[in-house]
Amino acid sequence: MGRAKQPKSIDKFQNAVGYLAEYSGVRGVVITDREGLVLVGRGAESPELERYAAYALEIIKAVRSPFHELLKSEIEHLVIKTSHDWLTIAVSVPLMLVVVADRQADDLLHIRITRSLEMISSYVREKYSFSSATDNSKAKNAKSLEAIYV
Amino acid sequence: MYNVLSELNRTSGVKGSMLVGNDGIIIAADLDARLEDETVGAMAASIMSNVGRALERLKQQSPDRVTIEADAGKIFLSDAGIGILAVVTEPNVNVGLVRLEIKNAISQIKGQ
Repeated sequence: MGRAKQPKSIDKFQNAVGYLAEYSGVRGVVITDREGLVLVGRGAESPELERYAAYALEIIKAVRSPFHELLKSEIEHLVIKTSHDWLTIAVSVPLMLVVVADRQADDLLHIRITRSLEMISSYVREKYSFSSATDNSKAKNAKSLEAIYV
Repeated sequence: MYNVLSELNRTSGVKGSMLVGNDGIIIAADLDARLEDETVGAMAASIMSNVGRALERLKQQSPDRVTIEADAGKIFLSDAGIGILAVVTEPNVNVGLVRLEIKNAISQIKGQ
């Protein structure tokens, strides 16, 4: 009896998450939906990943309004560094990628995050027609983001 | 203090910088005319405090640096001891150079 086959979307997200999780210094990676629920996670224990997913959404919600007031633009990346940790929240409508790493992790991690985000965006775009390629669709994205985070 | 900000603003792509207290009160500002001091100050204090509260609930230390990127630009917020150093830049800025200049500015602010 073989293992139950995972949905293709989860496989693709697993690839994006795995690509990041294998990097030195990365402690946890989560793809979360608009409700702060974990779609795919790797690295830390499950309850820990759930907490990061939930609070990442809280942080984006809290920061979005003052940021928008200033730059009239939607948040794409938010990076928080503390004395021990490096937390990145990258928004890829309608999902978010959350990466928790050691503060001392190599700066090249940023390149991996960008690459993983491209993998997620490309799949979401292909599957659900979310796109950031044109101004028209950017406006559509902004509206979607509004719907998600308000 | 103004000299430190003015020096920081000479970095290519930097639109302005300011030092604001954790309560949102402006200590010093040297911003582009299109940016309002009060708006940037309130935004910086609000973001640092919201992020700090969320991290506290995650049992993490308070943030010493927060960077936010969007297609309209980037905002760098750093703990400068007496307050928050906020730097607003163009989107395609040399991040390494900006970080270096922020580090220099913070050590000057802390030394004053």
